[in-house]
Amino acid sequence: MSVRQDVTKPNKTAKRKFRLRYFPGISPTAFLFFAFLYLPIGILVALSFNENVTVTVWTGFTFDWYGVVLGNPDIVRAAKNSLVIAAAASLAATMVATIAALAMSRARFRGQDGVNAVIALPLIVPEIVTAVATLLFFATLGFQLGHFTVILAHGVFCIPFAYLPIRARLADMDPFLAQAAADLYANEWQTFLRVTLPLLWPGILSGLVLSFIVSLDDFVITFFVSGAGSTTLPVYIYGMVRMGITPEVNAVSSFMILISVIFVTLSFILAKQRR
Amino acid sequence: MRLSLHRRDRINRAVMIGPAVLVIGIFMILPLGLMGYVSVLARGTYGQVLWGEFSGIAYMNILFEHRLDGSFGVNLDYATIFLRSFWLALTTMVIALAVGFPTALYMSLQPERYRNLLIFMVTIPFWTNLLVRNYAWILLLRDTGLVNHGLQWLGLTSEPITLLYTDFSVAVGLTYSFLPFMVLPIYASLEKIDFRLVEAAYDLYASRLQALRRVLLPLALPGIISGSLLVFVPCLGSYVTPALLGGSKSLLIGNLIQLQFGAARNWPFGSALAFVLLAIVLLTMTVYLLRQRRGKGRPA
Amino acid sequence: MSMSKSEAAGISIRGISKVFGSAADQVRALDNVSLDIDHNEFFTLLGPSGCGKTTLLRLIAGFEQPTDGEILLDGAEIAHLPPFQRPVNTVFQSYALFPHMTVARNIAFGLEMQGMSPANVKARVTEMLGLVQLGGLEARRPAQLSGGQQQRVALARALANQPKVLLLDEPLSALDLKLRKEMQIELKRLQLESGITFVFVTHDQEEALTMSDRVAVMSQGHILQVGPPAEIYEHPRHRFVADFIGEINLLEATAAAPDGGRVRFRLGGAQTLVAHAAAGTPPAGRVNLAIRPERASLESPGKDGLAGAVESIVYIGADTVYRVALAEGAGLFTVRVQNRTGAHRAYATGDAVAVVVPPEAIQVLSD
Repeated sequence: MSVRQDVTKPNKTAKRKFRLRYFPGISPTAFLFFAFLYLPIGILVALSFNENVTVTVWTGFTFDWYGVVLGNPDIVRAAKNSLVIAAAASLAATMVATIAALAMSRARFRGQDGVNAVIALPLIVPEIVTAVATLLFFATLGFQLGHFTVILAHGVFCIPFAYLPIRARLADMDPFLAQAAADLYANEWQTFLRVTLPLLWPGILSGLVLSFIVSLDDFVITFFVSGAGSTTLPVYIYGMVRMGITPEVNAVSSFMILISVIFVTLSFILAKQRR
Repeated sequence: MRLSLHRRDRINRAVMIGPAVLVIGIFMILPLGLMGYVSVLARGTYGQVLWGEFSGIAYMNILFEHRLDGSFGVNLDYATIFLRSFWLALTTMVIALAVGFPTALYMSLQPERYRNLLIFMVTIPFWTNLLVRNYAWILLLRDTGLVNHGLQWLGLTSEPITLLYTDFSVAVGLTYSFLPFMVLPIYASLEKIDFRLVEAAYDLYASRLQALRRVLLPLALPGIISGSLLVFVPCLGSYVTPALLGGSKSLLIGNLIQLQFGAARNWPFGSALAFVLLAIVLLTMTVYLLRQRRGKGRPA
Repeated sequence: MSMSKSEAAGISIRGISKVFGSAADQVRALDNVSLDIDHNEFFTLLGPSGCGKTTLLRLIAGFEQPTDGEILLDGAEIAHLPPFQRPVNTVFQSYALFPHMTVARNIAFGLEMQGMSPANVKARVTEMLGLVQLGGLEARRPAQLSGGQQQRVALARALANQPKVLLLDEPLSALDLKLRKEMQIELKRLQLESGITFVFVTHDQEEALTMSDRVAVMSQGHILQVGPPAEIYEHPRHRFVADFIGEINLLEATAAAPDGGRVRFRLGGAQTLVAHAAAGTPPAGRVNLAIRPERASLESPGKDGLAGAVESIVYIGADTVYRVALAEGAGLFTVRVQNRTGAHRAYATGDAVAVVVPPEAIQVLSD
């Protein structure tokens, strides 16, 4: 909350000073929360270095399982698929979302609420419902399930994820800047290129990163609409888990966690850039 | 002259918004409509969809079934699954609230430099693959998992307890999956509150509890409500958590639907179930939005 | 510091109306407004917030389209033109400096848009920076500048294009008092040197009086009076204008028919004032009179003036302000007297006095 931090001692006796920004119990709860949140994945990552084939009995430290994972052609192919699909879907979604956000940030118009609802729809509808409906759609139209169908399905739910940061960035922009540019003889295109776009760029990148990672992480929808040749990493992991708990699963999972951390860090750095 | 400017603007706007709306319209709204259509079709003996043959059997089957003697009776199996899903979603939401609110409060009271770090730490699990996060719990809860190892090592039990593939494990998994969804909206709400309001409450003889209850809580309500929705709705329709951590005895709506498109091969029934789930979610969202509008003074 | 005098333009506003909003809740920001601004004039639009002055400015700039009426620049219709096709530049209230460009790039922007060669651009930018006394700050970003410096960059950026008209939307409102006064002098000097028509919007009446060649006083979408500062101040025609500018005494009176070039006004009971019958004096009946406090003087009772008693005295250093309760319920009258030692008699609260008003100081208001 706003207002300067007041540093005082905890309120144990009447003689000690009253600590203003403090409520009893929230500190331990918060600690519990973060512990609960990170312990399982921490353990997961730790166990990926476990020598033992019986995953939950620790015998020694090793990088071997990562080597196994990297050497497994199926996993590598699944990873490549994931990256290709995520790149294609997020790029397309970001482009579409950018022009939509630009148009929506101008004057209000009738049907604005409707457009907002449509764009938010992929976020509201439960994933399983979307997955089912999309599968039915492709099956009925005779589309063969493969890269193409997955990219399409991903593109749909990537759009709101790309849209939101771009729209937020536009809302924050000084509305008079575009007018000033027009006042200084820039036509609409020049105003966009020289003023709007440079200021919007961090938002666009943020949207790109967000939709990339959402696509990378997706399981349910991909599970339904991917064919045999277009398995993504999450779908492959699911198959592995189904077959049994092995150290490779731990290693692959740790990889995915690492990728998430990298991308979240990236998006945070981008958000920090305030011009 | 003035008209052409307006019309040009309108065309520009349509061209720019068009792609987004079209993509979502064609690849989401249309499929949903198709799903609704399939849900009222009949199913053939080999599980194929009988296009053109309409029947309400799919919806009826949610609650009723043909008995072997030909009569029509109530079948509570599916209703049980719905109820279980509701119950688990509600429980998860309550637990998330109980843990999430204090955490969000704690975060909002920290000085600036720590806050960003905390937000960062909450955000990471948010964007980590759900599958991987639930899988971690398999490692912990299975009979040879770490929890059982720990309990035995501490001498509290002599044999492993069945923790996995139960309602309990699903609840744990759901809570774990969706806790960040509760914390972030509440934090966003709390962060906007001017802390001087709390100071004013203290000045007017309020105790900490009273200040919390009478000032902070009401002002944080928008965040609490949106956080609760953000937890409840996905829990209701969750698939990954029950698939990994639930057993055949702990089916939720999501698994039931997936079955119809897998082994059970009953597309109309699956579509009907999905449609019912969608209707429930849309209803909840509509109620929420209407309340928001009324709060802002616009006609509902 | 030489700026080539541009061909300053005359602006004609003819019957302009501007309506915002849909049928349900309409806002009539401007109602059938007409105005002529001359070449090379420092013209001010003055009024309280919501009077329409900013809307009118934005219509001239091209950020809004009029609902009705014409806007002519040097005789040519411009209302249909987008902003980037009008030889008009604006200094925004919030400056609207491009945050991602340096000071130099900001100033150069309009010139680049018009296709000026890089060498000429550089020269003009340097000239402008010198003009607003910001030489050496070319490479700074707006966020690194103080409010006053940002304001001058905004000014330089607009003037660099040698527009026919410079529009200024309350550019000094964010500055502290001392800086404000300095900039007022600066702006006046710039206008005189460049010869560009300045259209200045403000709600500060003192600012308007000090800087302008002519002032248009606006209220609720209408222009009430246009004229040089002295005329606006000394001969307000509307109650609003009289009240908005400076201090004023407003009295209700009944006018008798003009008699030999003079009109007698009766204010409650036996109190009367005599004024010259001006050409447009309204016929006998109830009227409102406006009298500036500094035009009246206090004399001992009995002298030919309004009878009353001193109710309160406020000493303001250069002047003393007396509030006099006029006899027979004619109301309160404020008299402002210069404090020159020995030049007048000092009065005390409760003293009976006569308020003397010279005939030419009486303004008859039209409303």
